[in-house]
Amino acid sequence: MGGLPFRNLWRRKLRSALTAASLAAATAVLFSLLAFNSGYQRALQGELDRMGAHLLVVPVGCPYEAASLILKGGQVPNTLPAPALCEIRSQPEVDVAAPLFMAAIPRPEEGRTDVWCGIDGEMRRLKQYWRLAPGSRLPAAPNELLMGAEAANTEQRAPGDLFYSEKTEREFKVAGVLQRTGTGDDGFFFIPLATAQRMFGKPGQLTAVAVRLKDPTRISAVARRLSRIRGAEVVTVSELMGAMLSLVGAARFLLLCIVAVAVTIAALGVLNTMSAAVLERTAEIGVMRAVGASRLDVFGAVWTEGALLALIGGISGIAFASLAGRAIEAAVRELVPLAPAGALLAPDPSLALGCLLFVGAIGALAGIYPALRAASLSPTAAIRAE
Amino acid sequence: MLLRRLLLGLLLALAALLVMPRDARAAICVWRKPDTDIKAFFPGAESYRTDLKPVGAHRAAIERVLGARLDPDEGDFKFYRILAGERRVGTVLTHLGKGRYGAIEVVIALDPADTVKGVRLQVVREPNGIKRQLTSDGFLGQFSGKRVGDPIQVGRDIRPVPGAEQSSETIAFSVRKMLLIHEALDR
Repeated sequence: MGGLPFRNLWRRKLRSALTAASLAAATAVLFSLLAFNSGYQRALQGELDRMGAHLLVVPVGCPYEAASLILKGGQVPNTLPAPALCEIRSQPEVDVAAPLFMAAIPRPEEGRTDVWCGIDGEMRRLKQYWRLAPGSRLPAAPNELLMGAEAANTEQRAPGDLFYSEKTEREFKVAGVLQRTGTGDDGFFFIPLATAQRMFGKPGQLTAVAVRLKDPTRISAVARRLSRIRGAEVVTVSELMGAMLSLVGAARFLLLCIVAVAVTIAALGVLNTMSAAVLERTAEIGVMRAVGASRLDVFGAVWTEGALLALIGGISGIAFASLAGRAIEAAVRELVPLAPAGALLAPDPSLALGCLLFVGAIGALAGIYPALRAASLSPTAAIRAE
Repeated sequence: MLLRRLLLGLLLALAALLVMPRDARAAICVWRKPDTDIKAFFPGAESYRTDLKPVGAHRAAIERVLGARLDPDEGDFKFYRILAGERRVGTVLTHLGKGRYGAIEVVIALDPADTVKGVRLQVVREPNGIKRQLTSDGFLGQFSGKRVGDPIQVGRDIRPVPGAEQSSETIAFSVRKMLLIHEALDR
């Protein structure tokens, strides 16, 4: 009896394979979605943690948009007035207040954008994860440049090389290159703050100030006080994370609905396949009963077939989603706005096991009705019907 | 039979996903404007096909003839085959080099006899006056007609752009290197 479900599935290879394939597709989507759910949150949290700041003071406008642009690199239309930095630094709770001037130069012909960041020494205190490549140092002179790892690789630059910005017609000497950080910093050009402000014709103006507090529990009180600065808004890192998560929340709900439909269709597929199998094997079931198989034996054999089908589909789906993970991640990265730099999919064994159990349970449930029908057949009626 | 074919196809697809090397998808120097370049170098051609050529065991031999090490990232090279209908009318090669002020991306067009038909710079970061001279026909035209093994030495065979000797060297080296790689991997 033990090998019977296997043999029965093998007897109808094409039908079994197609049913398992529909289950595999549903499982692959479910597994990828759940892996994305945890991976995105983890990557975003990692990126925000690496910012080293508890809050960002940005110009009036949409604070979340400004903060996101600063994180990923982009042009923020408004700027903070210079006195804002002094006011922020005068707060007793502030440990580090790192001013930032950011500007983007699109190079559409080359399909890329140069992101220039004006920074001062405080940024180094904030970004303690920065590691300099051998032979590197931080820019000291006005015409010196620190390059992110990716930017240096793209431009084939190393410490001591020259670098030219065509649009602003400025020549720089590469003082240093950062080791890869896995954040937006990898693609940026860092120059002294005053140089950046002059280069883009906005002397004294800032794009943002990243603030780290001595005591993070004081964040609400400090944020309230800083938001009174004229022309400035405050966004805390946790608010930023919430805003970014809600951006993908709607898409995630839609995808969950699609998964639910796919799983329902797959379950109906199992029900249909097993019902057809029971109909085709009416005589065979009658003979089984006639030679002594109990109703429970028949129920068990048919039900196991359904569960087995679901299990095969589930395993194939998880295997496919795991193998195609890189391709899925690349596709997701294209679709998700402001995708963080870390791995967006975080598949783990417990997630795989959970998906497998879920799909197995769906298959087992879908197999109950055909199994009950098979078990209720009387031997004589079954043989006569044939 | 059908099921066997389906399963075989699925297995092959999964195996391809598993064994596909990282470099196969990581473009070292992408070809940025295929349409414009095809129109300029191969009038009448309408499409192209990409052949991915792994360096593999040829690495040491290429490095010996070239007199320079290949970058560790240079595990595969893309040869863009230019097609007029089904007929191959040439090949395009691309290379990322180190100019004086930034990256220089060189596009090299070869005719069916593997002779340089033309060269274009798709990325140059040089002061504007020098950039104009580097991208001019006067400078780039010197590479036309060159074949693998021909001398391509700046100062002797190629007149450099005054004030941009390093970048002129970079471009000449890119052409010589890609001709050599094309010859070695396409044999």
